[in-house]
Amino acid sequence: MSDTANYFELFQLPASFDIDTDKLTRRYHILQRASHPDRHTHSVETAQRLALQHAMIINEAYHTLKDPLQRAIYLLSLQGIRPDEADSIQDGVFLMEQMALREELAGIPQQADPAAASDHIQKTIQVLITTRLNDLTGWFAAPDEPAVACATVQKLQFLYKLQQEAATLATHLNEA
Amino acid sequence: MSRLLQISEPDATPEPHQHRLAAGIDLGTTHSLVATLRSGVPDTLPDGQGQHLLPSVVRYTTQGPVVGAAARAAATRDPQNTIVSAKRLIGYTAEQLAQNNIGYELDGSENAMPMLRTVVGLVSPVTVCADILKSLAERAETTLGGQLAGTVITVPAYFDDAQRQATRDAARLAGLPVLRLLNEPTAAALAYGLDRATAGIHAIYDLGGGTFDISILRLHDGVFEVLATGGDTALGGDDFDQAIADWMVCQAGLTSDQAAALRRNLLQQARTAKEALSEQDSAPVQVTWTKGVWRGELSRAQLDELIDPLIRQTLRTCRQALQDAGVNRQDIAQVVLVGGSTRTLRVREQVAGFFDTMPLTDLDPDRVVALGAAIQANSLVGNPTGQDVLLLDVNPLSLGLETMGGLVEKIIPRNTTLPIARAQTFTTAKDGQTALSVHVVQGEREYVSDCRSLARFELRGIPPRVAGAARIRVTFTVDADGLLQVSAAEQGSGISADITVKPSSGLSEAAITRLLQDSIEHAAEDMAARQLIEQKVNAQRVLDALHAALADDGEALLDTAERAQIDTALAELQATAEQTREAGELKAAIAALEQVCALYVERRMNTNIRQALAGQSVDDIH
Repeated sequence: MSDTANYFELFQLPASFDIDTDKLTRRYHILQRASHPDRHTHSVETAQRLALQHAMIINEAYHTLKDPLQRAIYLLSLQGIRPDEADSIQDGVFLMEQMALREELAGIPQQADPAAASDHIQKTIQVLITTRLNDLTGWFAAPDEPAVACATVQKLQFLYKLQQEAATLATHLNEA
Repeated sequence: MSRLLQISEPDATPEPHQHRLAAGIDLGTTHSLVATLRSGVPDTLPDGQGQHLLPSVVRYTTQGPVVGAAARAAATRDPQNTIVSAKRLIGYTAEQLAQNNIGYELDGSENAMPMLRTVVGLVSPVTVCADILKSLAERAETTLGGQLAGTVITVPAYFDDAQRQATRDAARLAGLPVLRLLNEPTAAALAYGLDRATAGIHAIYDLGGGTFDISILRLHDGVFEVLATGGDTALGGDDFDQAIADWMVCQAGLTSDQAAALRRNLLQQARTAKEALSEQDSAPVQVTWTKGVWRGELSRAQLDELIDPLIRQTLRTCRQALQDAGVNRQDIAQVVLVGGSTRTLRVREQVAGFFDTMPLTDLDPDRVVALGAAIQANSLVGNPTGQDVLLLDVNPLSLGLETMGGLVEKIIPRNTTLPIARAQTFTTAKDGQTALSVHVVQGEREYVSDCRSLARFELRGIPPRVAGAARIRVTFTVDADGLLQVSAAEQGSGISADITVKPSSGLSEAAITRLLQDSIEHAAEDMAARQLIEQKVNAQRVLDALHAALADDGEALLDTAERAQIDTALAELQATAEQTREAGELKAAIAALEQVCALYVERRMNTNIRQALAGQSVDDIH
């Protein structure tokens, strides 16, 4: 097994955006049971070294396929499409929406009921993420212009970052 | 005394599953333990006086180090030569420690490694830990009647790379064969057998003497998957004692000089009072100094008030860990309490309130970590275990490197499942640049100055080109122990450099060699004998592993010529192991066998992966 192994083949799953994540996790556990360094500590050195390499690839593969955004980027890379090298987002409406959301997030601590406001924005972001993930599902079902998929991936990157910040704010609000 | 050589019959194959001696060691801030599996049940081992807990205290005397209760008894009398809580010091530089008053005379002049000045000269905290480990290993070997083939040493989940390296170094100095560093909360989960009890998500709240850890684990089919971990390596029951002592100083109206002189005594009283308050509602305290006596009462309510801010700090960390794990408090099926400081009633109350569930406390919180380590040691050493458990742990802190403007580029974010390798490509900033400085840092902050510096190294000999033309790939590798290795390579020219990250706070390779040689000089023959036994154990392990493998798939994976070559090499190692008196010779013979078998082992490992998922159509039906 090399680090250029195809992650889908590794887990014996079809190379598609819609995958059974329960099955993925079950197979991940089976593969790690076979290859984790802990399974080879009493073996010869060559086996220990290979076990480490295999376990690293399996971890990377699992975490790539488990996360929808990483999975999309990986699938695109298999088709030679690189969203990180594509033009940056031109969609004015999306950028305005992002700015509005960022302003809303920044203003939450000053709200009368910050906890409720925090809940609200987290739900809003989740809906936006779900919508974009559906866009990706559609694109992979019937691929058209690569630029469309790249733009969706970039938008999701924005949204996940925002989601992370909203979660951090919620954690801080809880402490106050 | 002469040792009789054992000679086995020429044709007898060695017992494939000979029981190997394994032990789990909990190297704690205030006390340490060693445990082993006996008849399949893990148990901690007592010393000759029946004591299971070894106080993590070492007193250095001209007659040699004294470890444990005798050393602790002398702590007040001989504070300068008696080192307590060394675990709090390892992995830090002298400068970092000097910022906190640790109560020892430090000498950081030789390098960044802090040294404690004692009657026998300078002693590093790593040496102190090594002396504790040695004492526990001797206890295990005396009890079990043989040399340990493997140990597992536990560390706080939140221990950083420098602290893990220091623990590894301590084990090397103590001459212990370490199979794995295991995170304390994960060890506790294993000891509780949570995998057999309930599938689901669990929280392990571990408050020890000097460290706090929280781990969120998902358990499924015997796999312990750590989702997130958090903690504070400088927060524990010792801080409760400190808070009580500060209160006593205030109540008694002592000056800071008087308080400093009484420090050890005050802390001792604070600890006694704290422990008494787990049973009763108030405890007497007393301060006696040159100018008078103060007597008072510490009530439970007062204690709660003193320690509440510290407990709140731990709960903040719990919140962060839950967020990192992507789970809610309501998702937590069970909470396990670990560490002596969870005996404090207020801690139990607050944790139960936070997770809204009664925590599990069936196992002795002082011993549970050592018990888990013993289970894992037994499994890793290759003894049949009867249960099929796999631990998947994470790295507690983000690892990255310095880029332009003092910013940190994270390469491996915190809570990434181990082992892991990640690479990123960088380029040169100036025309004609021929060297690149790689600065490895650890931490969550954006700026290098706010993170912990782990190591620096240089990649030289980059062919001079215009800025931005070179492609330098930097690879971070973290193994299952959580130890980091970094390498850099320029892709056009193929020049490369790599280092095992050796933090500046740690012992240099030269220092370790010197310390090891010192101990060899003291007992040269003893050392040689020990090394020979070590290599014999090693040879036996390799022979067992290969015999078992060949019986399994030698037929399928090897042709006659290949098989014959391996059989010859096996016989040669077997013969050397029986005849030699030289550890070096045996080591070379093991390496020779490894060489001959390398291709076979590789085929075997690849088949292993391919076959793991064979028959998975069965699970597709579910």
